[in-house]
Order: sequence, then C-alpha cells, then structure tokens
Amino acid sequence: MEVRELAGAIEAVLFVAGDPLTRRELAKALDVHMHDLNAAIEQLEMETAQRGVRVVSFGESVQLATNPSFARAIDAAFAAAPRPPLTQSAIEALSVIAYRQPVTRGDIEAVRGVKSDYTVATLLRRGLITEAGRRDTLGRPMQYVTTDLFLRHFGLTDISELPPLPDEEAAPLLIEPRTETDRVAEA
Amino acid sequence: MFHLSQFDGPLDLLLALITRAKLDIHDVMLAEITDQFIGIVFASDELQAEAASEFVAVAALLVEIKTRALLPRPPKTEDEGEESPEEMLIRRLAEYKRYKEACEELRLEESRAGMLRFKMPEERPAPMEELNMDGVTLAIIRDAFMRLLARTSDDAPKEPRVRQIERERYTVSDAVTRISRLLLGGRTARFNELLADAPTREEIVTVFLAVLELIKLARVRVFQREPLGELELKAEGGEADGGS
Repeated sequence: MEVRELAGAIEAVLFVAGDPLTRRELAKALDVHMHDLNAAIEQLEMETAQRGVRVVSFGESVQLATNPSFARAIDAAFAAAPRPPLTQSAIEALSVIAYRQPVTRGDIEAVRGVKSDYTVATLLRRGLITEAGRRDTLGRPMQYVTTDLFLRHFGLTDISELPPLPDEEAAPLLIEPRTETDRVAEA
Repeated sequence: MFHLSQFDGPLDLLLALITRAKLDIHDVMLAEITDQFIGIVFASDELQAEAASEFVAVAALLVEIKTRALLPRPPKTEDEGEESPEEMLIRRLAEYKRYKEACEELRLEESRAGMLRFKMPEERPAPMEELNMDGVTLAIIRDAFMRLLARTSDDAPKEPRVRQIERERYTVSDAVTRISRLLLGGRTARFNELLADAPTREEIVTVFLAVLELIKLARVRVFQREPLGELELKAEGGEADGGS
C-alpha cells in the first residue's frame, strides 16, 4: 500500500475506533509492516496538525483528537464541562510512579508519608497505571508503571518528555544538620 | 490558620509550615516548628484514626528531635553512625518536596492536555459467526434431516395437547439406597451396572443425581480411567465401611 493510501486507511480506522489503538493493532489490522505504518502515521500527524481533528500519538497508541486550539469552541457549542483534574493525592502518587517506575505501593508511601492504597486503586481503575509484575523482595509486592493513557492525560508523546524532576538536594542535607546538632552538643 | 484537611499528610503540612516561616529545609531547625505542627494536629477535631496516626507519628518524631537538641550529647566518636531522626526527616522532606514540585509542572501539562477531546467508538456489532460448510454434501444434510425426523417421531408420538404429569418412578433417595447396597463389601461397580437393561432418560438422570449426592456426602469415590470413559464407583473408605 502506498503511504498516502495507508494514511487514509489509518485515519478511517481511527475514526471508527474512537478509542486509542496501538501501532501493533493497526499494523495487524491493515496488514502492513511497522515501518510503513510509522511513516504513514508521521505523515498524518503533520498533515492534520492545523486541522480541527488531528491524529495524535502517545506511547504505543494512536488516536483521533480535537485540536486543543478549538477547545473553547467545543465547550461553547456543547456547554461541556472540562475534564476534572486529578486530585492532589492522585497526582502526587502518579508523579512518584512516573519518575521512579516500576514502584511498589510501599515506595509511594515512603515518599508521601501517607497510606496510598486507595489512591493506587483509583489510578488503576482509571487506567493511568498498570501492574508490572512483583518485586523479588519480602512479601513480593506488586509493582506499578504508567500507561499510554497516562501519557495522553498529560499530553506527552513519550515518557522521556516528562518535565525533569527537580534536582536532588540530598547531598548537602546529609552534612548540614549534623554540623548544627554537633554545635548544640559542643555548647 | 492552617487546617489539617488542607494537607495530604504530615510531610505536606510540615513543608507548608517551613515555607510559611520562610525557611529553607536545609537550615531549618525542625524543633522550631514542632509546637506549631503539634498545635495544628491536635486542634483538629475531625481526625480520622488512620490519618491521625500518620500525623501523630511525625509529631512524636518532632518531639524527639526537639528533646535531643535540648540535651547535651556525648561527642560522636565514630563518624559513620546511623542517620539521626532529624537528618532522616529532612531527607524525607527534601525528597517529598521534589515530587511536589514536579506535580506543579504536571498540573500545567494536565490542563493543556485537557483541551483535547475524543470521540466515542462507533457501535460495531460483533460479526455473525460464519458457518463452515466445507465438505457438507446434500446427502449429509438429507441424512441429518432423516435422523431428526426419526428422533422426533420416537420421542414424541403425536401426543394430545393435554399432558399428563406422571408420578416419579425413580427417586434419588431410592437410587442412593440401591447404590449403597451394591457397593457393600468394598465392591466396585460400573455406572452401567446401576441401570436397568434399557434405561429411560429419567432413570439415567436420577441415578446420576444419586451418584452426585453420594459424592457430596463423601460416601462414594468415582473413577474414570480415560476421558469420556465409563464411571467406576467404590464406597469411600473401602473395607472399613464394608462390614456395616
């Protein structure tokens, strides 16, 4: 299939699908090689960049989505409420998972200092994270990683696009408090 | 005034207190904000047990740090000691702060990405299952139809519209008694032996139900030597039960 024709087929399939499809699913459905598929998707992304409906990809998934420039127009036309943002505890837990994946619930709780089982269950149910096998430590706890839906929720194409985690300031921390307490001890 | 419900756990509250005091976590003497922290934790009247324990644990840690700061300590001889509670808490706070700051960034990305809208999938009814007609000839279809005709004429010979409900000729409890007797003395019996020579469907079903009942009561054990093979029955407990 020629790239132009393949691009058309992909667009049509994505329209009917509505939900995201993985590149693997698309290649299988259209019976083409991954290489050709990727080329066609890239072309589609460029062609539709300025249009009302665009082809967007995140992780392994591809989907049709409206152009963010027209969000206001859509909301005005349908009196649609914007998607509610994640709660603070959800986004905190999610950030630990995103930057340190794979992580266990214990890892998340160690950073946040609060129980996180309910939060983790909510993230799982919303499809923002998924289970990724058990860690080979005591109790064999389940590990979690982020999903393509996570990337979509934050408008990322790839996990490498995550904003960098602020610098580790731990190094001086280990020395400074000790000098202070020692001062107290000497006094 | 701060209120507990505004905070996602003790570290969150502690960070807020440090920020309000315009202190850097590096040089803050945690002891200074201990009183504030404890004041807020215990001022809250709607503390839930689980959340409370997390706040109280940190409060206790703060008190410990404050106490240690007040007491003279023997000079540390070995420089490679364990992390002090204060160092530990500051390290955890710094770590928590990193992720909290990353969350601010993620919030921006989230609101930008929230401008995208998607559509629901089209309704796609599942495709009808295709009939595999390979190797099917007219003769096969005719034979199948003849068999069907033969069965219906056998099973339901022009019954009158008004049906009679017959009394049960076989009961499960009768069958249970009969099977138990057959298996006396540790004898094995094949399922077919439990039935009359030309068993009716009703009889087969009744006897099978009786067998299931006996299995449930743990009075018989059933074997099958091969898939779809004949069932063989043996009294549970073998000889021990045989005498009774």
